[in-house]
Amino acid sequence: MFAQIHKIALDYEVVDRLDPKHGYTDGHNPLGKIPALEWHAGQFLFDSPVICEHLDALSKTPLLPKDKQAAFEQKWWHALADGLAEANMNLMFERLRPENHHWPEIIERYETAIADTIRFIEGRVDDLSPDWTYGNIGLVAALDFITHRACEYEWRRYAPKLANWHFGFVDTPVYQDNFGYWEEL
Amino acid sequence: MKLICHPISPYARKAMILAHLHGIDVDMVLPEKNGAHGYRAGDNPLGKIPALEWKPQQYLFDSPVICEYLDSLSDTPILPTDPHQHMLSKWQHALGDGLADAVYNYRYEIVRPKELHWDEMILRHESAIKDVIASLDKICDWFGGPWNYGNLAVVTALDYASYRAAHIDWRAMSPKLAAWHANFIGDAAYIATYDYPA
Repeated sequence: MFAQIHKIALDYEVVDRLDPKHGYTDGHNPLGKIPALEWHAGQFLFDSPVICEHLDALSKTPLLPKDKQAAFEQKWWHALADGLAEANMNLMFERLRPENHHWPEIIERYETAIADTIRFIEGRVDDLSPDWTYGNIGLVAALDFITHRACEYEWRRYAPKLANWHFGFVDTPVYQDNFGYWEEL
Repeated sequence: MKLICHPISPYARKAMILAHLHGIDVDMVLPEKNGAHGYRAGDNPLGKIPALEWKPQQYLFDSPVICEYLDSLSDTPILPTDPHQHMLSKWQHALGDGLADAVYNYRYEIVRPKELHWDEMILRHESAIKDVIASLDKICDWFGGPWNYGNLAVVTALDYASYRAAHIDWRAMSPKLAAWHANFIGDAAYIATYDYPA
């Protein structure tokens, strides 16, 4: 979404070679983590907040505010959103395990983290701008991830104000152009 | 400022080293676990630690954001202002954090009830640990020393690996990296924040 907003041309390569031992390697990075951005020939940048900052810094009109305090507020929201996405991903990976290897305690921990965080954000919706900000990009992406993967928690039911806020982004070109990737994941 | 965390956490130790270097007063406070809610405190609904009380009852996370914030409080920040060097430092920091994550994931796999262990997953995390160490060994000539923003994460992750994944003898696997790491052992910030049981 950063690339879209700042009109930076990126070629997306969908990884489909998951090596069970090494993750998504392909020489992209030793951790086998995605996303990875080829910022110099053969050199890959990660992880996602670092990629976002780099892309944002390439623009003449970066989303991250110049004011230090305001910038950290945005990074705080972004980190909260990433935490939400991580809890959902951990839940997804827990459920992908062979059934007799599921650990109910950890499933409850992830589900609780998701529900607690959604409720918390619902209480703070009035602080959120209706525009694409550094924090909002993280939030919209995390909410969609929850809608589409792993969690049957119907967040919109528990957070009607947040659902309304999220709906404000759905018709924007940035959202529309990035949404298709859900079908491939 | 209060930093809620456990002293063996490499993520917290990065912040403690930085606070030490910059002379910022940070108190490490042990977290209280609240069942499935995790380590909740103030506005930290994810229950994640470390969390830094940057404003009354407001907690900053996660650890790279905490480090960047603490660094920004200093008149002589260690994060370079040159955009390229800045991102390169963050890249190295992310690589160190990735090693800490791999060790953490390994640890969380083996603390499950025994019948719930998944050997494939243990192997995946062990491979990630070894892959990152091999790659750090290749590039450590470039790291310099003693402390910079990237080194914070790499040094603390290596110590965490020694403690939580001791069966992986990273020093034997990567002598160059071991020699680089040895430069930190006598450092005041290193010693003041090293809290692993012998």
